[in-house]
Amino acid sequence: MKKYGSFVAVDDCTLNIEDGTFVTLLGPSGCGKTTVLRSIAGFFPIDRGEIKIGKTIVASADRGILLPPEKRNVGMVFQSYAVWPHMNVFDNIAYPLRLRGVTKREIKRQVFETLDLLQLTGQEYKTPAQLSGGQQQRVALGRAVIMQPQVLLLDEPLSNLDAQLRESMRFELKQLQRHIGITIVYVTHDQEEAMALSDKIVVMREGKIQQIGTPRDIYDKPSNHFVAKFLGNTNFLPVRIREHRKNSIILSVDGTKHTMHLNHWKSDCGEFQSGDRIVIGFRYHDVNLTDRIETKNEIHDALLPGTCKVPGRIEAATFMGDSMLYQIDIFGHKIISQNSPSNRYEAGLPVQVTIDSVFLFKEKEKSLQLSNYSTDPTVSPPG
Amino acid sequence: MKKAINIDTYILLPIFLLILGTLFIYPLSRLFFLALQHNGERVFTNIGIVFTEASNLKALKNTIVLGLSTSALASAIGFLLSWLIVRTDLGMKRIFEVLLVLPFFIPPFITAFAWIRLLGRGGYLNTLLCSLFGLDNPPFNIYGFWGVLLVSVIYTYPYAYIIISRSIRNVDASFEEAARCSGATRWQALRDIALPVILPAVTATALIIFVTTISMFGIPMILGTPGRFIVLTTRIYGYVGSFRDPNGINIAAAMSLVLVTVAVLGLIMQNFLIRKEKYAVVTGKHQAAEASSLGILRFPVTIIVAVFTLLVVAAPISAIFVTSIMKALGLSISPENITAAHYVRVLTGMPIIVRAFRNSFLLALSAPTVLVLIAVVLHFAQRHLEMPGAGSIGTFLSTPYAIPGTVIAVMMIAAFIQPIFGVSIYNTIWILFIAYILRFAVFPIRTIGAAWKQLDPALEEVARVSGAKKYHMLRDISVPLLKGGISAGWLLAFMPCLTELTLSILLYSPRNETIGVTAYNLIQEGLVTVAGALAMIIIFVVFILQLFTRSGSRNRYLRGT
Repeated sequence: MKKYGSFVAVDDCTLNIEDGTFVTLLGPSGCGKTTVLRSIAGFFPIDRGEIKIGKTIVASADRGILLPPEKRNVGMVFQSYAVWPHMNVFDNIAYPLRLRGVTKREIKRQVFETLDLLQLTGQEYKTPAQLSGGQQQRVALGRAVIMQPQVLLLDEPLSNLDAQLRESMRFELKQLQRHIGITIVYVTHDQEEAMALSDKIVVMREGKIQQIGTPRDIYDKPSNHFVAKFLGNTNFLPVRIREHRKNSIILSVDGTKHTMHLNHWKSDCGEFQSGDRIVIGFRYHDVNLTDRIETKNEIHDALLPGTCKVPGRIEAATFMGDSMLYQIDIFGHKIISQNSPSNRYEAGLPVQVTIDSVFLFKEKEKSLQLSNYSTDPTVSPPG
Repeated sequence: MKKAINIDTYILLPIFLLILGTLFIYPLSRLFFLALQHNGERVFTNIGIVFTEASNLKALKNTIVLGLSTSALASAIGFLLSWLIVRTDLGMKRIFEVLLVLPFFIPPFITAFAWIRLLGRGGYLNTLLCSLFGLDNPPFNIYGFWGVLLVSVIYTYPYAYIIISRSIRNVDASFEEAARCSGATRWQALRDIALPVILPAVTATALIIFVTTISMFGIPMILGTPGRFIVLTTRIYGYVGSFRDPNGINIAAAMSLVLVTVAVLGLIMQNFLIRKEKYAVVTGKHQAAEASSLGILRFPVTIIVAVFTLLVVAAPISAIFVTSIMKALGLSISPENITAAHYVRVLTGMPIIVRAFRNSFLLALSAPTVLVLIAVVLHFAQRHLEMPGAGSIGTFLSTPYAIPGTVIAVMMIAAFIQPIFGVSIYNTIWILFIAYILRFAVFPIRTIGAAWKQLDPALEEVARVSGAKKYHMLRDISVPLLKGGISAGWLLAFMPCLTELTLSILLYSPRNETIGVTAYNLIQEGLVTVAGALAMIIIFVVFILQLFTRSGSRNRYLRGT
């Protein structure tokens, strides 16, 4: 169990990480995720709050405690791997044990065990210059896990690998974590990576936590505009609430006379009032198209109750291989639909756009208040 | 199209081979030839003399001892300073960083002169110590091995500092951080990880300093010879100038071969070391390691470094300055004894100095220009004309820099002492010109080569596609884009051309003196105050040039030096 407190200029966050879980800090560059990681490792002092690993307080601003990295028993894998060039693979991995005064025989046994775990058997006497990026990566991992740390920290370790290698290493990492049951804190800006690897994702932005949840939770129920934009492909429309009833909302689209009718949506942060300006978001793949015949009653159609249906016109159609990408004009705004390539529409055609699964967000992007979330920040749709 | 390339290559290649031949191959072969001649016969007598005559053996021993001890001391000092400045919280870092490298930019023979004024018989430091401690005789004698060692170390430690501090800065912080996570304390991480990684740079530096030291002439000549400490360069000088021994030049040639062999051996070892351990930093975000705290030692250590800086940087320059404004030697330092007369005399009243300035500037302005031309054409031929052997020619022309200046001078003498096709350049300024071309070719060739390599080939290709012929492309696109490398190469060659001594002392002739030679002669003749004024002017010129090239320009090719 690890508790972690609010701290200086860059950040302000509270995190509880459970034993044996794979937690990812996800966010754009400069959001503070690496700072958090390095504070856990002990390279960064904290100005407020405290960090606890297990039962030990490793850093506390109030009590003036700051344990140096070598005393924290925290393993770390760096983006550049930092495999020592003047030592061979064996010595690199053995170093933590050597420092702890383990006997030569025992070192040999453990190192070979680790080599086997990471599929590096046979490479032990090579120097890093003779290894590929993926192999160096594994040496760095082996060096970190051999001392059986309480927590393993990984700072964008896959970003220097090519795409294919990245995928296979992802898989191996997850396997490894399951196999030895270690707690992992992982930092990345790649949302695909985060979703593939994590038990829990912590989305961060400009030093503040935006949302914490399982990959599914975060994808299906993003808590704010930023999270919806950062994970997954999302369309956004600025709207105003015309009427807010128990089971439906009528929205007027900004800058037009048109309205959209919702009877199913997801939102957080309390209720919205009529007259509120908000932003709605919906995924590319939740935008479905059917034929439409242009009539003079277009506006009339939009007012019919049912799932959100709006008239639109296709601006561009792009074949992506595994999907069909459409750029559609609705009410003068552009949205994108991405779905199965079996339906083929051409540019210029009028279509009926059906939108499933709409998120409602406050207009100004706000990070979540501390009181608003715990380990499960999802909210159920009203009504 | 293809025909055009061939024609150009057929013209250019012979020209380059001719240049290489006359400048380098022919003189080198003449050196061998002379070395093997004794009394007109082809024998190995000269080599024998080199290795058996007592004073020659002593010179050899002295050279190696000097080289090793200078190298060890300068590297140690350079390492210590590097570590203190890059990795600790030493005080006044900014000031130290600027001041501590200065000795490298002052011509070494001038530094030697400065230290005579400090620790020579009537030197200021000696006098100060005498009066402080009530001594009868000055405690320090600058002449001899220790003086040579002192000034050699002062001249070379900045080089060690520059290289080693860069190496320390390049060690990715993550190396040591990974060690810390593995359980190493800060010190253990330093010992086990950081130090081994910078070791190749330190060793390479030590070797280069060794080679530089054994090639030096000015310092051993001015400080060593009066104290009966002779090295190979000064011995060669003696043999060349000896009128009594008709085989003088031959023995000098043989000794030059020995000297160049030692130098080349040193450089081969250095190359071998560099290649063996490639500790390039892996790609990724590079962060500098955090500075460790000196704690309670911070203040005393800062003071020590400050005293060192004062002694090594401020004291010599001050000594020269004071000397240059004294009415006469031996007078006490007080306002009524100050004069600017020496400066006036140097700048206006001594035709030999005026001539020397003219000669040196002529050489320093023309040689680099010719070299830049050669370098541009050579690299152009290599990159765009597919001239075979262009790379090798470039390498060949760069190697003379590794050859001790004295040896190059002897090569020049060996080659041009006799008229070629009725033309003799021996007692003209041209022999110096050629020597400079040969010696400093490395700078433009290297900087322009590096600059061109960094140039995106697409920029030139676009020109061709737009319709430019190769030469138009060169004129309109390549050369303007290479401005940085060109000016860097030019300046790097310009500065030593202006102030150097080692070549000109052996190759000058009446009316063809250089600044270096004139200053040296003034020093040796004991015209101390005038020498001081001239030295001060030289230092001033050098500093202005340095300021101009360093701070003003954003030229990355100069930053490395």
